[in-house]
Amino acid sequence: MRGTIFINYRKDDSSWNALALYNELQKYFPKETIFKDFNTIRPGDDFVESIQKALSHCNVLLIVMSKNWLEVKDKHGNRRLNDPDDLVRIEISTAIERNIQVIPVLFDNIPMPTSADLPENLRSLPRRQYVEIETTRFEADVKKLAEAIKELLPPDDPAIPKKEDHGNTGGHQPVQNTSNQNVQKPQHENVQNFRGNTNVPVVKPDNYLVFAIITTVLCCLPLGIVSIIHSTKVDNLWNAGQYEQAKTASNQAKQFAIYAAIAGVVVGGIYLIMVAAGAGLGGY
Amino acid sequence: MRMYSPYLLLVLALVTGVGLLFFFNPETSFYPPCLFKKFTGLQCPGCGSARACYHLLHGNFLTAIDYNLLLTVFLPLIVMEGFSRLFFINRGTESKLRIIQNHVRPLHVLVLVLIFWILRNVPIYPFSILSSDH
Repeated sequence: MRGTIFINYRKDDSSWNALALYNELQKYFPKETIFKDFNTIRPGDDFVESIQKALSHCNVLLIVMSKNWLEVKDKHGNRRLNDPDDLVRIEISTAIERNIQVIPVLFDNIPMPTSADLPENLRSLPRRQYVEIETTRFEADVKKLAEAIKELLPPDDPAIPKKEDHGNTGGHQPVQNTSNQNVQKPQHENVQNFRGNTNVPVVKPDNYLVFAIITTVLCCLPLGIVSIIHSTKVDNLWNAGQYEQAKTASNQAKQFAIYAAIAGVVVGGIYLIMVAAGAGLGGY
Repeated sequence: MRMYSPYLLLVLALVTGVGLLFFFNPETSFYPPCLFKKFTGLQCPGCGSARACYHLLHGNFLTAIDYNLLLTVFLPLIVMEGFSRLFFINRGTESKLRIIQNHVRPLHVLVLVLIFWILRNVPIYPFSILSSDH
């Protein structure tokens, strides 16, 4: 069976974001493998059962979050997320229980919610690597996400045996094993292969090497070098499987590049003011 | 419009910077000096980059190399990266232009910068080529 992607979202928070993501993902996956409104429950259905049924075909659950995701309230003024019968919550917790890969997809520059903001059965969510989608780089960000998802879906080439088929293949097994492993190798260097594993990141954090180089070569303060050092750590930590630390190093590489740039501008500015003042007072 | 304003600001800053560097020669005019050099007497990896940029803008490739080899090597790659980020965001071409992002390892850059930093401060002939002083 071909893999499927489910998009989980709150209508009051992200209906347009979810729609945009749904449309954009169709560039990379056949339309019939992406489900957006699988939580449409017909009257009389037991919704827990319906969700269980829907999720039984699911390989990846994308959680679309935007500014109001945590705070959306029902008509009584209670936070939806606190309601154990909240459909969004049930979908996510069911997916977590079933070891389906869950990827939070953050829109509008929102931070990843912390465990303290989440109900009990979603507390593991912040430990998962999320993906940020920015409006200015929408297509590029979704492309990265799509590449990560491709690594999660089962190979759809019928020539390649599925994992469960191993052992029934007799003498051909070693050969087919090799081909299967080849398929499972990451096709994109930014994407880690993590099929079957539930708590691992999706996209390698940016090492900001370009900015580190710019600040090193253009600003005279050696802060840029600190940025390059953090940039070096990103790849090493990522390859060593220390994903959270890689993310931290990525942020530090970015921050030091920014510090270097600010320091360069400030020092230059102060110098120019001093020169101007000196010239105004009659010079040296 | 609002969502493009950071890019707009960046482009404006770039145009101003390139304009200044084109019309005013850092060797003779008001550019701020390098603090590291002022206080230590040693050159940092970025020393001479303004003068190198000035000469690159005037087509003096060899003079630019003489002022700052590192900048002259990296600038074309940086320009390509910037170009891909600003104009090819939504197309498939961007990855071909992003040579640094896709093919250069940070560790190699670090080693290169450190070696360059040390060697350009060695006042003996083959290394003194790397110096920004003349």
